Amino acid sequence: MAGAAKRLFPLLLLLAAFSAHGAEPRVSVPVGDSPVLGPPGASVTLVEFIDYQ
Amino acid sequence: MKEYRGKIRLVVKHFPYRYRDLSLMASEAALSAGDQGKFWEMHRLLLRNSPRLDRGSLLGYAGEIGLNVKKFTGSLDGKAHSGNIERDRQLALALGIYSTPTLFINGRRVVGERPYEYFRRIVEEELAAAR
Amino acid sequence: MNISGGSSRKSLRRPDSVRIAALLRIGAAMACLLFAGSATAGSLARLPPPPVPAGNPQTPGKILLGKKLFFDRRLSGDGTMSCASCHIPDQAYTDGQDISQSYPTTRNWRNAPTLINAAYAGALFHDGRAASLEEQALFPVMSSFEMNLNLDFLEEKIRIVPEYVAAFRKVFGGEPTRERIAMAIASFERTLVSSNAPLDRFLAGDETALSREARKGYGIFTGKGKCAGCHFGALLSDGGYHALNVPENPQDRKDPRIAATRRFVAKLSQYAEYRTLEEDPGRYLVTKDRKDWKAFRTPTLREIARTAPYMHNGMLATLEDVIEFFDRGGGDGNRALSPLGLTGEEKHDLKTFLAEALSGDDIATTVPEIP
Ligand code: HEC
Ligand code: HEC
Repeated sequence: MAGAAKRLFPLLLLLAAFSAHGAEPRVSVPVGDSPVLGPPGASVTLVEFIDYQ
Repeated sequence: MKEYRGKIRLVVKHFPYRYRDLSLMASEAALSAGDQGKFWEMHRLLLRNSPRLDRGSLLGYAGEIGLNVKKFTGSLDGKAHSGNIERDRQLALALGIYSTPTLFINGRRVVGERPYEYFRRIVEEELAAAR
Repeated sequence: MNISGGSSRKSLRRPDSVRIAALLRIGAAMACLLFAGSATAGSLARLPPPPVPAGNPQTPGKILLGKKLFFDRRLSGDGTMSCASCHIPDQAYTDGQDISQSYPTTRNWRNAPTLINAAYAGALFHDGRAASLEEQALFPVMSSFEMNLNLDFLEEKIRIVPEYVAAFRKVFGGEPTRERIAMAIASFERTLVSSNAPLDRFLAGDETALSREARKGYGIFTGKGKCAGCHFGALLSDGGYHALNVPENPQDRKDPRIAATRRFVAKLSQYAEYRTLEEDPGRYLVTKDRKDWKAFRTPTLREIARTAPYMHNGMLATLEDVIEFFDRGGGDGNRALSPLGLTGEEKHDLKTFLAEALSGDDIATTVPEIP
């Protein structure tokens, strides 16, 4: 996953740049090996970046 | 989120703010609980009890949810998951995240805390689009 | 935000930024005069480059510094909020909510307007109480229900960050001060402008820039709909204030935390009966003139397709709702509007004009590295 994430970064950066404020910008966020709740085939995926404090 | 069981999945990534003293350790605690198959139990306790996230409290939570506390402590103190957390942090920065919580619903960015209805509307839109 | 969150040792009503703002205002006012000179009631105009006050020229270094400050959570008391918490680049620099976000545990009371083209506005906020971007920038920082940070503490927080100290030295030739923080943020905001909107191409003579329906909608906007009586010129705003009597949100009226915010702002505005105030008095809080009771600034309509929900309190969710509101002749008891009698097709065309003609090219904002 680490390697994959590294390779993804340039692409993500591009995506982030294009996502400025268009009507419905979408960003693709890799799930990687992060904790997941819910089935892999779910039609909606929520990725949350959190800070517990 | 229960009402959407089976239709949605939730992925958690960590973006501890460096000026909050206990954020990083709390993320370590959640992932350490995950090693023993109890990430979500710990996740819920941390959210509920924040900001009581000092080391003593974290060890208490570990006992509360029936973890092997010795193993948990070793993992917490050894910062066993610093690599995972750093990877999440780099991803967050690459995605231009500047605030927590930030949520992506099928890639649609939602910055900050919102009323439940706000999330619900987007989830409904996405479910409708998937149909 | 109008008003100091009681944190400054200076007078409650006049933050220190006012000093520098007074200087800058002269330049800005002149620029606005020139700018307004091209606007005639009833007709629309192309968007020129934004006015820049002589006291705060744009430089790349200053713009980047302002951008960093704009996204930096250090500017809030507890590290949760930056300007970009409520003015989100992905959402055309609004936050997409009826009532804006707020400092944790408090509630805001108004809708967060877009910052795109704020550089052109002669007066800022829904009630026009700030005269320049420089003057405006420190209000949300101080505001108890927005970022809640004492300005003396802000300065010290920035001064302990070596990267910031170096950047301020380079940009301003001196150390970080609240005035310079405000100037840098304002410079960044002046880069947020609509460019190349279909309306501008249309007004430059390119008939194909608007669809047939949008062209008909343009006719209604400037004709039967009477919109251009108030929304005219390059900014589609007369820069004035009108009481359209947009209804209050009954939910918000009952919310005790919103009541606290409303009373707090009214108190600092020297409104005597602030303890019993149950609605948003709008411009009246600034002028204390009866005719301004519940009057709000005519907002720009540029980027309108991306800035829902609408009005000072976000009470109208869609452009259709807005058009219905104006077609009915506005809110109960108002004397600014009268019913329009638009047909279904006319409403549709008007909506098409608003949705199609007024959005500029995407402003690709990348979040800077925050020291
Ligand atoms: C907690 C949410 C929040 C934060 C944080 C916030 N704002 Fe705002 N902003 C608002 C709201 C709400 C208004 C409208 C207030 C009013 O009219 O009384 C507003 C209005 C403005 C306006 C006036 C726009 C216009 O067209 O009149 C500008 C400019 C602005 N904000 C810039 C900033 C800057 C710069 C920062 C950071 C220093 C910031 N805001 C932080 C919510 C916020
Ligand atoms: C008498 C002056 C006046 C006229 C005529 C007028 N408007 Fe407005 N408009 C305003 C004011 C003032 C506001 C802000 C009201 C508030 O916030 O409560 C506004 C708000 C709006 C908004 C919401 C903007 C936002 O960012 O929230 C839209 C859209 C709009 N007007 C479109 C129209 C259209 C379309 C017409 C013609 C059918 C029209 N207006 C006619 C004064 C006017």
